[in-house]
Amino acid sequence: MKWLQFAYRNIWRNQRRSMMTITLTAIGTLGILSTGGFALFTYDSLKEFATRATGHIVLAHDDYFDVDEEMPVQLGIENSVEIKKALLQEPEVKSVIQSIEFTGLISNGDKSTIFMGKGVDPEMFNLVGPAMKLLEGKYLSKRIDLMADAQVVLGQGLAKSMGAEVGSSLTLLSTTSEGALNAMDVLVQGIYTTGVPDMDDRMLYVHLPQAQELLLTSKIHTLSIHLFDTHKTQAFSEHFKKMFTELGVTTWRDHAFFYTSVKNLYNRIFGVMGIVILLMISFAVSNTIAMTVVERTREIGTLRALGSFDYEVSRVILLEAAMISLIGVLIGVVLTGLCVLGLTILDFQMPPPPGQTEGYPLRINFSAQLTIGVVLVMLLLAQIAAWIAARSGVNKPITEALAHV
Amino acid sequence: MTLLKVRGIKKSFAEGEAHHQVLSSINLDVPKSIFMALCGPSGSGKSTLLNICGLLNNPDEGRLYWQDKEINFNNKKQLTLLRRNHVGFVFQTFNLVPVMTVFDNVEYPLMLQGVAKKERQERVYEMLFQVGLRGFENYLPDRLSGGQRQRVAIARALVKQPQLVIADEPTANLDSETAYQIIELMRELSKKLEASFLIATHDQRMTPYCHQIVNLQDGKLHNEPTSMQEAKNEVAAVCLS
Repeated sequence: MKWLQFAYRNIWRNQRRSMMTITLTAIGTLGILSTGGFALFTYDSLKEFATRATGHIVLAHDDYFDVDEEMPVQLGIENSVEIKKALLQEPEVKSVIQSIEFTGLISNGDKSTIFMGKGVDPEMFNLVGPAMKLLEGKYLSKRIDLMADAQVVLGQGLAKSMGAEVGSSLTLLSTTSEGALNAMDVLVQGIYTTGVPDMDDRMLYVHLPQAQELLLTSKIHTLSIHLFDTHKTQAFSEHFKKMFTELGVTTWRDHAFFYTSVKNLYNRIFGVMGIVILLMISFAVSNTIAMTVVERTREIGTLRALGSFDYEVSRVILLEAAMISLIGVLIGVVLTGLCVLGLTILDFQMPPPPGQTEGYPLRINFSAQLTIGVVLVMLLLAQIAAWIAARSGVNKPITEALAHV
Repeated sequence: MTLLKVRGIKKSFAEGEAHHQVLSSINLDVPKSIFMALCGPSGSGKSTLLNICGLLNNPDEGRLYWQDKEINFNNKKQLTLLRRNHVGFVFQTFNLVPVMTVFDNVEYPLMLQGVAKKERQERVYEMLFQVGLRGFENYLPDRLSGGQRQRVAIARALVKQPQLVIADEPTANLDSETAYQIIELMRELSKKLEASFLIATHDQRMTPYCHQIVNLQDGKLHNEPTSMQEAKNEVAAVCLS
């Protein structure tokens, strides 16, 4: 306790210098925690987008993701309904979405353009969340009206290209699984945007049975499994591999190319930034301690003359460094907390990223794990920096230290 | 019994390319409970000899015996423990730790020795009483006069009941009256606590109080007989009274 008291009093011997170091440490901590928190928010958001879009686990034909199909639905799954039933028996499975992908031409009678279509179970729209935003009309209805035209939900760009609005009649033309051409009249049920113009210009959704009817097949391409808990993805992926040995089992990470590339990019950018900040703080603490040691050379000599071991003198200096850095780090943590709160209340929007039309909210995730990690690393670095700085003072011959002016 | 024996000590310092011989073949015995002055002009090597006797510096040649056991200057741990337990220091510039209160400064050597808190408190209060500083426990050194600071330094040196106290020009920064008080205090405590004092000084006021005066000139010793010193003491005592 006495040592702590001495260290605390020593900090305030040169208030301005200590305050500068504390301020720098606080700003550095804020910098690392806020950029790290922003990166974590981005990762979480992208993960959420990816898992909602593809499901946590995707079942498909073993070659589906590696080999191009020569004929539509060549690499499809035949008995998808039974598989879906079996999957829904699993208590951790929230939902299973069947889907089939196809391409073709879409026409309004005057004009045609290519499209990328997806036949899906309509509950997909309940799961997709903010990755898809309905602009007009509705998503596909839960029940198919066999007497009416098939429903279609168009991407914003595609609808614009076709001059279509809700209620417009269009025709889809595609190649069947046997290689023939088939057409289907569809009624525009809704118009949506994903925020990615390339997707909005091409994508459309129809009910799965109607896509199967267009392609003259009973197969599907993929079964997207949505779990209640994302953390169980890997475990269930292994489970399903054993359960469906004839199918290919992939996780959302295998399809989340955007998530992976953004994470790699951010990890590098924020990693380098973090290292720079940590180095800056280490130098600041080291400089403060070095100056302290120089100023107190005679005092250090006196303590050693009185019979203090070198480590006992160093201990007081290291305690000072620990206190300075701890005060700075704690202030930094509090400031980060205030920033997190402020951004949540004020709802700042970031401009749309390249290739997208929608901005996104600027948020910082407050991660206990990151905070503890940063606090520990900061304290450790400050200790190392202080130890290096203190060594010169403590290793000086006592008589030289006592004669220091 | 001799507390400290110095045998054939030599010490030189480099000054540029030249070597300046500060101490040449010094032999000295410091008996127990002696009040010994080390006199000589500036640059005579007083402080260097004092630093070697106080185990703060190592000699180039020669040996030192602490209670007839040779001191190994390469054993830093042994030197530190000897200083911690048996040697006290009083410096010309007091060298108190400014962030420590009077109490803390005096308590510090006992903390190093690992003395229990209660005993520490008792000994510190007793020592402060002896040096006339009761009531000043919570003062920081910068609130004290020079004489009071030197009293704290003396209390710090003596609180651990050392066998040897090294004092380097303890009265140099003090006015005459305070200097006398400090000298008397040291003399009195030396007698009371049976500690040997080895004092480097060129303050003539000090000499009447010493059992033995050792003169150092150009790094060589010239001892005065103790009987003469006793005579000086008597004269000084008469003058003072």
